[in-house]
Amino acid sequence: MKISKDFVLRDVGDKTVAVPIGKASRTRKYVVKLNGTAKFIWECLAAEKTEEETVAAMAEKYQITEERATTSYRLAVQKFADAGVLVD
Amino acid sequence: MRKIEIAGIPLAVDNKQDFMEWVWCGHETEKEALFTVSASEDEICEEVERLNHEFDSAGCEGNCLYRKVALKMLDYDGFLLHSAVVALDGEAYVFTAPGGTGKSTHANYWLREFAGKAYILNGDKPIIRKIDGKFYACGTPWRGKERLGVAENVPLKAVCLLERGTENSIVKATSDEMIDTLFNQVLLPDDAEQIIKQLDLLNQLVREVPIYRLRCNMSQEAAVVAYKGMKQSGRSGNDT
Repeated sequence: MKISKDFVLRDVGDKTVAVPIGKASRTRKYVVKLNGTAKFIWECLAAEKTEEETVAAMAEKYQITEERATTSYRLAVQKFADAGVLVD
Repeated sequence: MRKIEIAGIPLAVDNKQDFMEWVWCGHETEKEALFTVSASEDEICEEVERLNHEFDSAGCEGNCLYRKVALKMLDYDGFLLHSAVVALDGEAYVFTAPGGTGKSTHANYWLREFAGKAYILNGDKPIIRKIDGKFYACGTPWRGKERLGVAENVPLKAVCLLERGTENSIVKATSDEMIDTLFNQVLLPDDAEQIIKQLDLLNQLVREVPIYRLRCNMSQEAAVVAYKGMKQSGRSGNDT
C-alpha cells in the first residue's frame, strides 16, 4: 500500500492539500485537505514506510503513545483510501 | 490574429469564429504578444457536447479560449477566480461562490449603496494576479451574461466567500472554508507543474489578502455589512 504518484502535495495557508494530476484529474478533481499529522503520515507512506515504522516515528515526533499514534495512522489511511489516494 | 492585454499581459487570440466587438472592448493593444491562444475544432466540438448543445460554437470557442488564457496566466503569477468583483475607492472587493449563489445580485447592491463610486470590475471571470508583490483583481473579456466589467487592474482589498443566509453577517473565513470554496472556483490544471503554480498562488493569497465569509439574505443591507466588515481589513492577511 502506497501513495499514488498522481497527486501533488502543497501547503495552502495552515493546511496541506493534495490535488490529483494527469488522468486522475479528468475523472475527479478531489482535493484532499491534510492537517499536520495527516501530512506527516502521507510523507511516510510516500517514502514507503511500514505502519510500524510510521507509528514509531509519530510517537517520537508528537510525544504520544504508540496506541494513540496507531489510531491516528489508521484513521488517516482510511481517509486516503476513501479519497482514492492509495495504490497497491 | 487579435492582440489584447489582460492583467497587464499582452497576448494574441487566434479565434476561428467572429466574436462581437464588445467582447474585447478595452483590452485591445498594439504590444507584442507574449503568447497566443487558440482552440482547435475538436476542442470546440468537445465543449459543445459537454454543454449539451445549449451554447453556440462561438460561445464554446470563447470558453475554450478563456480556459487557455487562465492556465497560461499561471506562468505570470495570475489565475482565474470565478467571482464578481466590485471596485470602490481604488480597491477591489472580490465575491466568490458557486454559480447561482447571488454574486451578481450582491455586487449590484454595492452599486446602489455606493452609487457613482462603485463599479463592476468583472462580473464573472476576473484574473487575480500578483504584480510587483501585490495582488490585483484584473478585468477580462469574460464578463458574464450581464456583460459587466472593464479592462482595469485594481489592487485587491479582500476576498469574500459568499453564501446565503437568513441574516447578514461577515466573519474571517476559516482555513477549511477558504480551501473548500476557492478550490471549486479556480481552474485546476492537469499538469503537475501548473498545479504547483496554482497552489502556491492560492497559498500566497490566503496568507496576504484578508478572506471573509459573508452570509447574506440578498438585501441592500448585505452590502453595508460586507463593506464595513472588509473595509477595516489590514494587509496582514489571515490567521494562518
